[in-house]
Amino acid sequence: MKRFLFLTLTLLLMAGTAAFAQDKKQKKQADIQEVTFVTTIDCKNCVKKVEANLPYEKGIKDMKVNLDDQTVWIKYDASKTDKEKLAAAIVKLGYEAEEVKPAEEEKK
Amino acid sequence: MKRILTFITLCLSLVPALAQNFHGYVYYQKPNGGTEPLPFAQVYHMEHEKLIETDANGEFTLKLNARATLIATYVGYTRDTVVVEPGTAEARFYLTGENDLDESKVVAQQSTMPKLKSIKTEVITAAGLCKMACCALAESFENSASVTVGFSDAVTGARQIKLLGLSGTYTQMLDENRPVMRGIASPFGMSFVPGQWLESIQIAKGPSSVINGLEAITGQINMEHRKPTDETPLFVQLYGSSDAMFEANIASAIQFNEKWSMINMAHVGGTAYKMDHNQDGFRDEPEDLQLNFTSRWLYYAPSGMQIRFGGRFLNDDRLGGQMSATKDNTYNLQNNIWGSKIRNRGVNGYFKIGVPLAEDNHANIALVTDFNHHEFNSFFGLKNYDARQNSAFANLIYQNEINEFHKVEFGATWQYDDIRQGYGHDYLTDFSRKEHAISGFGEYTYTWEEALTFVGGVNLEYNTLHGWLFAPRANVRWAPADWVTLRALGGRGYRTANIFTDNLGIFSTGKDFVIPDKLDLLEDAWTWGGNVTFYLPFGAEDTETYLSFDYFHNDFNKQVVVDPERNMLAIEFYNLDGKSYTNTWQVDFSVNPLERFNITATFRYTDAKVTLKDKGLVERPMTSRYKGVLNMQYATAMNKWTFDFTAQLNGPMRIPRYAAEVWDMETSPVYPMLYAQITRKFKGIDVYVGAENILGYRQHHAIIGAEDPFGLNFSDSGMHTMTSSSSIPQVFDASNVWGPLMGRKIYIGLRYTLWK
Repeated sequence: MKRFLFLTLTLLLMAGTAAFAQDKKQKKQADIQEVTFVTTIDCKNCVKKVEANLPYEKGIKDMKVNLDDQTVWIKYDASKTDKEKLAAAIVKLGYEAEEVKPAEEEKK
Repeated sequence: MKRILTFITLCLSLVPALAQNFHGYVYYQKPNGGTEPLPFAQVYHMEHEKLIETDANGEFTLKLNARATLIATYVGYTRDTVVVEPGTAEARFYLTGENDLDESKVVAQQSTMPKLKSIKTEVITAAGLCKMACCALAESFENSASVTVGFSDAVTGARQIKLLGLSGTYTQMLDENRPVMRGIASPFGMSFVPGQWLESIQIAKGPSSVINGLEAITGQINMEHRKPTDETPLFVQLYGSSDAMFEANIASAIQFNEKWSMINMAHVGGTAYKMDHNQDGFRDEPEDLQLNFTSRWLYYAPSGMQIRFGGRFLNDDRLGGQMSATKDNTYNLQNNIWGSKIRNRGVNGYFKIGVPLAEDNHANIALVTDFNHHEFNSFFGLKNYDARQNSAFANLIYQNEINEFHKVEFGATWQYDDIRQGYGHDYLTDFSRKEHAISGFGEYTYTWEEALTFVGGVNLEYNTLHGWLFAPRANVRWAPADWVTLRALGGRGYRTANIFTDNLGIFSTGKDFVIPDKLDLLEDAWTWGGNVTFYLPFGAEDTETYLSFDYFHNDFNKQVVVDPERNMLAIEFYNLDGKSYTNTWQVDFSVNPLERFNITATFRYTDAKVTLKDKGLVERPMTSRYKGVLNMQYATAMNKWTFDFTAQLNGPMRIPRYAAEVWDMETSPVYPMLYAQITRKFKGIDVYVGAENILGYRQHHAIIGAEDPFGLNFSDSGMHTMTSSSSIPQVFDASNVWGPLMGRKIYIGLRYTLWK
């Protein structure tokens, strides 16, 4: 019986923790946003440079550089950074960056 | 350029906002630095989502009330973006032709197959190179089934590659399109190119182009080094492994100004102490210390002229053989000490210049020159082999891209080799030679959009040793649809055999050499083949899923045959009398089932035959019949973690007669090799740990007669004694290596990159 109680308690505790984690995750999800910048990245080495440095800017969750379109796509945590800071990070590496508005992307 | 533009834009934005009319000018920036207006180019006003067109003079006007992002584009040109502040009066946009860039815009994760190349080329990119511990070029092919890497013997640690089932000596090695690792520099050449110096490696099977000479028979491997223009003022790599191998690399690229840039790279590496895992009394790998330095410079003139020059210094000392052998005691008959000492020293210098002959660079002329000095001093128990080589190379190439369909290239090449070599004390048995080769070549390329490319070329050479040599070569690539590409190629290749350094393993035997006086050193072969690649419509977005089939056939007219089987006490050299050919089939499959998760599977089958005296046509010894490679790589977002796993299945090799009798096996066993590596990236720093040969598979008996290396030895005294008690006399022979000599290896490495 004791064992059963213990087991139930443990399970409840685990479920609680999981639910809490889930809650936190959902809150996190809400903060995750995406942005695409048109940049002046125009060489293979530039791509390497951006790929080596940009991931370590605060709040960046994922990113991709597209050399053909000269764009940088970034997934970021809006509670930690914003579009201006992200653009500034690209400029700091030596390239111009201008946000592509989602509406225009659809138009394309 | 872009930075200057930004600066100009910024400066202009400081002008008080009065004039609201903005003028834009769009130019075509020519490769030679000149510009011309680009009429009817499109300019996209991002904020207003409006498209504007330039007039016949490449100009446009627009009302400007707020900050505007303007992107100028033109089909076939790169785009240029300028952010204009209100009040700016004018701005200039510079577009370059997409084809002007000499580097293709391919950013790949690893081994890739560029779709548009007319010769199917396997590319191992920097990312692919990082997958493996790859201390040297020789270790960079673990994921490739096309290239097989093995040891030439169990003593020297020299690694040799095989392409299309033939020794790497039939593969032309190029360093940014200069022939390298020739003659006596070849046996350790693969070990003398630090993997960390390289940006990418391109493997092309078949004879390829006529422009780089005639020596490519089974293929070409081109190495691209880190570039002077890399924006990395400092790169440092450190590596250490459980089998006493260590290395350190440092590279520094500096751009002095728009015109001058330079990269210096230094390497120190080797094997720190001796080990004998299989307890045969012999070191598994020699103790080794390699020092290697290179400096590479680039001058880029505004006119479009480019000059590249540089040099390299190399010193490598290795000590192999029995555990009891020391640096000062590599030979002691009384105490039965058999040791081997090898020293390689090399100096290389090169100078390349390319001059555009037209404003748009459709015609240009290039000169490539190279000088190489190499010294090879070695001692193996009783034998010594010494060699010194001076080589000079000059290649003058004229190229004219007449229009989008036709391109011609022609030129002339001079290659000089002065090789002094011999074995026995003080070049007792002299095999020195001097050789001049002067050739003229022409190559024509026809391109029809992206669907068809045909390249045909001829090369006529006059060689002071062999007379006139003629080699035609051609290849064609046809992509009838998006999902399929067909390629075919064929051609002839020649080379002069270097009988000792091509077969370094012969020194790690107690056997004598039988070399006829009139040995013809010319090797002459035809190679042809084809490939079909299907691009399949599944897998993660933005990646290529392909299935590819290869077939290659190689046929020798003339070849120097090295026969260890006819006579158990000697290795015989003679000219091929009969057939010598290989057939190679290969299938490759690559897919990304998920984003950043790649699976590549490759399988190669080789049927290699050679005619040996008294035996007739037999399977070429020590050539693996097949190899299968399965590679899986998964990377987390932004490659912060990378997990690599490679499984190899190495097929059997036919073991030469006497070794087969002693070991009582006709063919070597099939064995698997597993590799794994985990890389973690931090800002500027990558740390990687990995394991090679995870299953710890080893060839336990690699040396025949290891207990008595001086027994039955003919070569020095001309006398021999029968000392072996077994029924088959065991002549010392360490040249039959079919598997790994070292067991499991764990390694750790660190790469640090400082970005400009």
